[in-house]
Amino acid sequence: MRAKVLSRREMLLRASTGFGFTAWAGLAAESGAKKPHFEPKIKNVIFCFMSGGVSHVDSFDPKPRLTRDAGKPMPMPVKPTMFNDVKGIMPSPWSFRNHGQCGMPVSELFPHTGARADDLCLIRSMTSTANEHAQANYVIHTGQPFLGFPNAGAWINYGLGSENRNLPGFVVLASGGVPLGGIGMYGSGFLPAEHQASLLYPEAQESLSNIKPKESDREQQRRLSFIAEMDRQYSAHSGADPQVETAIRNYETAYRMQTAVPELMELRGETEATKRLYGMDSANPATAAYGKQCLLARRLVERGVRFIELTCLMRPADPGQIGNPWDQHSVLREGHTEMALQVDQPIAGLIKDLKARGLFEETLVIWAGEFGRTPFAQGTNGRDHNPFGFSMWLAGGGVKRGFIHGQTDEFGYYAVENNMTVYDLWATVLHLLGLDHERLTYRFSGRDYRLSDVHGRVIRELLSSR
Amino acid sequence: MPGRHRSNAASVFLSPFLLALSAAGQSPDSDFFERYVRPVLARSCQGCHGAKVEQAGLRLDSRAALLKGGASGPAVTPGDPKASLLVKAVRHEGPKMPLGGGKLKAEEIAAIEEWVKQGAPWANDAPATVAEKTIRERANDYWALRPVAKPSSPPVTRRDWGRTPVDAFILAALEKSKLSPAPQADRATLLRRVTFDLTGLPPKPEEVTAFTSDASPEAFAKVVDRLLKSPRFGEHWARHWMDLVRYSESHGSQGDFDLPEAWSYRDYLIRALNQDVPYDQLVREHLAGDLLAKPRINQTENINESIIGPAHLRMVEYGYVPVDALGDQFNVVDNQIDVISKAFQGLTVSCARCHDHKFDPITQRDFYALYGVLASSRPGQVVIDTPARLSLHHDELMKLRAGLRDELGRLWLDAKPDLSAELPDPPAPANTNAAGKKPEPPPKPDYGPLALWRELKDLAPGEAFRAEWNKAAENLNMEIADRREFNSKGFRRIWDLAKPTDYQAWFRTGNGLPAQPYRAGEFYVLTEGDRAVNGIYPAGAYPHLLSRKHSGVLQSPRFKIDSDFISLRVLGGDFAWARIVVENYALGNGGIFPATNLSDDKMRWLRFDTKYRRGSHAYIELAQLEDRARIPGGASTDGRSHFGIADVVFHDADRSPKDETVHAALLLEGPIPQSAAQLSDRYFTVLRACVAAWTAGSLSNAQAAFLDFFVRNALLPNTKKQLPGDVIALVERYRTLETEVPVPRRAPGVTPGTAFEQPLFVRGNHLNPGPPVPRRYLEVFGSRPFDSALSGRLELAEAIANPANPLTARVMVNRIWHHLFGRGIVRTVDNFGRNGDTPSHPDLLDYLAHRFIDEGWSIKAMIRLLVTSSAYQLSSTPSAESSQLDSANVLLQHARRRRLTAEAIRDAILSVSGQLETKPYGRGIDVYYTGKTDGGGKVGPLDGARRRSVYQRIKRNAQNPFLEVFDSPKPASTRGQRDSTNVPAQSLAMLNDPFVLDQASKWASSILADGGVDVRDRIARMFLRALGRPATADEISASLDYLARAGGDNAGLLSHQQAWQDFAHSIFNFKEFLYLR
Repeated sequence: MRAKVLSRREMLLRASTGFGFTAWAGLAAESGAKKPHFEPKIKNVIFCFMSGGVSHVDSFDPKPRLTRDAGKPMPMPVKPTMFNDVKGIMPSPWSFRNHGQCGMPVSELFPHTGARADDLCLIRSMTSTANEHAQANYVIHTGQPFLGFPNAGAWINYGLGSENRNLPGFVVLASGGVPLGGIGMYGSGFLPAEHQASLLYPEAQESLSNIKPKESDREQQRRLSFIAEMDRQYSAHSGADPQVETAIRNYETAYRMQTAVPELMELRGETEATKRLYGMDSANPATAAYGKQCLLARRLVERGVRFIELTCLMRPADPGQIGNPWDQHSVLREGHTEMALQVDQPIAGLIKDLKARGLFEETLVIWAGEFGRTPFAQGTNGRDHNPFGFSMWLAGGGVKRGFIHGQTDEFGYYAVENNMTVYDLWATVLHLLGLDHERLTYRFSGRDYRLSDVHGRVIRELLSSR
Repeated sequence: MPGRHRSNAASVFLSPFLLALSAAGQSPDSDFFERYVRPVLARSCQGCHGAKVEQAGLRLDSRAALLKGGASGPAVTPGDPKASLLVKAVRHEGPKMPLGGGKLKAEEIAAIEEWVKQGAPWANDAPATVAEKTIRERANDYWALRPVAKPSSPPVTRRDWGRTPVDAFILAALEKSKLSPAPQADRATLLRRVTFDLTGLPPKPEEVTAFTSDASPEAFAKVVDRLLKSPRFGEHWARHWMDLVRYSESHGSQGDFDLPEAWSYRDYLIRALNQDVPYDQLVREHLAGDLLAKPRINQTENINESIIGPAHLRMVEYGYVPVDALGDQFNVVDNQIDVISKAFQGLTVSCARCHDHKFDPITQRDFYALYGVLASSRPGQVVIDTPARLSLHHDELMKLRAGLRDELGRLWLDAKPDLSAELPDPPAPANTNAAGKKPEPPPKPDYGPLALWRELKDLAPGEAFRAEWNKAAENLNMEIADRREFNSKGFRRIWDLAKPTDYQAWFRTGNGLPAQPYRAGEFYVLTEGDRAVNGIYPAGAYPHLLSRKHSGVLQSPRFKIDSDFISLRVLGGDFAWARIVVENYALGNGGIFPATNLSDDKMRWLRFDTKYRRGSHAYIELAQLEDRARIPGGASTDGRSHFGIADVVFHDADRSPKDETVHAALLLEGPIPQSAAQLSDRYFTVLRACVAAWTAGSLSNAQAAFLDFFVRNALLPNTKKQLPGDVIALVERYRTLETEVPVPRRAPGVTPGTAFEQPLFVRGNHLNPGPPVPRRYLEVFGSRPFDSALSGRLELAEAIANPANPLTARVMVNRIWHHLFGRGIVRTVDNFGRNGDTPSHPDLLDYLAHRFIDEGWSIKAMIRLLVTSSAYQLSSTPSAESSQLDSANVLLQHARRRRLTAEAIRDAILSVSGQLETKPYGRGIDVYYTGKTDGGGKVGPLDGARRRSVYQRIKRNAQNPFLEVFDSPKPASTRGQRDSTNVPAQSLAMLNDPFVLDQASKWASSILADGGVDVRDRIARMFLRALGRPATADEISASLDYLARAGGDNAGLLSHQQAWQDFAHSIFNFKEFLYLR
């Protein structure tokens, strides 16, 4: 074939059946969506990861005793802490107010999220098994405290396949820093690499690695046609090989991605009202950037991307904490104020927008850090890590609304009722997606591995009857 | 109360059936047990207290076990139900059992009570060795654990096919399935295949031409020999090996700290594979290379190669300042066991960390037997130099130092220092303490020997002088008494490192630490500046007396921290450190892992707060800078550092002991001086005595301190101004030679520690330790506990590198087969267990394993055998029958199509573009990356310094994005079989990655620079170079067409850089470039 140069549109149309490979199309099976185990409640997950660890006693778990016993030593055993600088009980600098029909108390740090209280399924009894950032980050993303295990998003893509062949099925929006522990936690571990996250950089020149052709479309088309022709001869010569055919077809997908990704990132079509809803007009650049991630998350959901994770932007006042901006071992008041300002309005805007567009029912928004913070002070004005009990929330299809699950003790130190593990969380999320966490397995080095390892149960108390 | 009620009710209920039993005339003892008790124990108790799990160290599966009991004592007291824990537990009077499973039925509880009352008879009371027997028996049931057989060639019908014994096995299986092997691949295809397989690089055009035109029957054998001899061979096969040991140059997690000198292990592998070091030797070196009686010495580089082998044990991921240090060690050791067992044995032993292996005959005890072996070694750097290199100038430096001592002694004996000299303030210790705490300041008031002089020198002789003298003497004596009194309470002196027995109980490595501790009076020659010697040391341990470049690590035996503080009397500087290593955590450098950079050349008490770590196991470590497992940023780079240690005390009060060495006390000996003049004489007398003792080698610590004061303050001749020319010359000579002393080269390694038996962690919960398990290898091989004062790694090495081990050779030949044929005879190369695949050609596997051992474990001989077989040389085109009958091509009817590995793709691009730098070895090249990463370190050059991929640095948290997209493995665990994914990101990388474009541009430039007059000729040459074969006419014409679009006539096109770059770039994207057929 000596292809004439086509318009991008024509090329894309053709590319959907190959650069002249119609004859081979049947050989490479489309690996699109796979069947879930049972009828799913949701199709997509948006994970708003609060890297560094949000203080639950200052956000969603009010504890009046902290004020009453301010400065006193903890009346219960204190577990070893990271910094071994345990001081007295520290009251929350913020007041709480009941919100919505459900009357859920939310701290004044989160006025916008508070206003959405009736949409939230709040868990106050979350626990983690790791007490330092990198390990806890790995735990909440993969269930294990180190490299080598698949991220929940990778599991979900492995289980359900991709709905959109032109976009990766698992996207991390990386306006902010990569959490401590590195990008390995977004990896596919022992699952095939196709399931690992693609990092999209909303603020960068090239939003996805190598997505930008370094030449004109016309040049690239000519190149692709030439390569395709050579490949066809190679295949014809040496007998069709499914691997090689797939590799050939990947060039078509890659070509389409070069259009699909910039189209996704292009927000000109969004109204000003929408952008305002997400806080993109904020005078605070971090709020605007986080808002952009939230808006992109919605656009990714619209395009059928299964799992989207958002990253928090660093605090300009503390650029050292690029990967864990919520980590206030000191100056809790300043740090949490800044961070809440960054994420509060955008996330509330996201919920509103998903509802307005009818996407809320098929989407689950997860809001969580890797652990909470201690009810007692570290130094004069900070809090250390607390994996023994902390808060997170879910919002969207299949889960209760305006609902509070579990509780911590009266100081907010240990979870004491309906304690939930990371395995329970993911077992429940998989359930909502129509996957049985005990059946979603992958055999690797002699074992059938699961996202929930040998633990986890679906927390039915969280599920709505709808 | 309610409990008692129920119990009574049960007794009432029980009676009828007891009566019934008796009435039936049965032997109540055994039958009662069998019928009513054993089922209850089996169903409700032995799940947690049995052969598989021993919760609280308790087993309830034999009478002996019940009587022995567990953590809380015996489970039963025969005849006495009330005193029996078991009865209390099931009645929920005390521990409530069964745990979480609800209370037993009343009649079950009653039956247990009755049985205990009977004396707890147990019909078949054999000790529970059943499990062990089963394990051994199970070995014989399973093919991989049976001894390697020596099968003879199977009969085949076809006689004209096959070059090697291997082929008969392949052909026989094909014939059995009515298949016949594909024809031989054409020469160009074969050369490309074997060149990539053996060296990871494409054949050069001249090699293609030579081979395709060599008609001799030995042509291919010659090629194979050439490739096996190529230094590129080791580079390629080392990478395969690195996949097995999750090679990495950093520790991951937060911070992603570097593993110092990790690259030396990569070079070790390359050298070893190029030299064809026998595989069993490499296995021994990997497990115990530091302990071998006859290490392998590299005479060219003056390196002890063997000692580098264990470096892989350090390539683990650590948590960042883990609060739970034992939990972190558990993960680390688990990973080590996982890697060793998979890499060398194809077994998944770490599956047994919580319970016996579900599929394979591996017990939970096996896991903890190995845990003890691995945790009994300590993470540290090892010196890889030969003694010859290390001891350069040793004798002469010793002689010079002795000479200097004599000269100084002579000078000092007659010196009368100015007692009234103004002294500068002592420098404050620098704050290099990682914990952020300053070392303790010198005690105040300072009882330097001159204090007394200053106090009394202006007094009139006679009564006034005597009175003041007496007062001062009394104060001093009181102070000394106070200090002794203070030190006598609340301090436990654990080690005195000046005592040979204590010193020798510690673990020493490095060439700086001698067999005996030093007596008081040692010093070192300063290597720069005005002063000759640093001062005079008290008795203790020092690694740096001859040269501060010398290596030294001194570690205490393992102990359980049982005090709130540990104080060490230490000195040191230049980033030597002292620390408490908790549960072998290698990276601790302060905070909740007590550690301090030493920054003072005088012995002082250094106090570590160990409250936080009470109950943990630990050891004390002092190490020279480059011997540290973690090198701090900003450390000096000249390889010099120093430390000394004398005492260790444990205590609970937040105060260190006081220094009892009060040098001024020496002045009090003798008659009371009557005047300043007499006092001054006293000073000179004491000083002379000190100097005399110094030269005689009989100095006391107090004398050393006295002398040290005068030397450090240059009150005795010690500076260039004060010393005569011949002494200065001696010092200069010393300095010249010391400069030439090499800084020892280090590699990651492990060093000996206290050997201990690891308690089994019940259900894998490290907070619930059970009974200790003796160190040994797997029960299934009949391994007995290791009788060794060391870790047992040497015994472990022997157990694995043993020709009788059924797995070692099988696993390795299968790996070689996998790399050459694209699929192992056992497809799951890392798992020969029941959950792995069975061999497609079991006899062939045994034939190869047997031959491997017979031929001295030569990897190269095995590769030669395999690639010279007909099976290797098949064409990749399947026959119609094969596609139908064996679509997965398990039987190897034809060659398997394979995508090149990530490294081979990158290396091939560099090679074809003419850019490849073949210089071997050395530090890794920093990774080129643009995305944000945690702890990514420096950003390296886009072209990776044109070095092969094996030389690119591997950081856990910042992996090379180009290699990663083509499935380079994550350094997490053994990965003998890589993924070969097929994703659009690969196409995007090949189309748009700046590295690929840059190389296309460079290739184009070199082509243009070569000149040439014909476009067709140039196209042909590029095809040959990239694909290892001539272009076809069709290809040339299609290429011409493509190039012609760039415009211009022949001449114009010839110098059109962009056109040729685009063409080169296209070739890199050909599937033929990326795949082997």
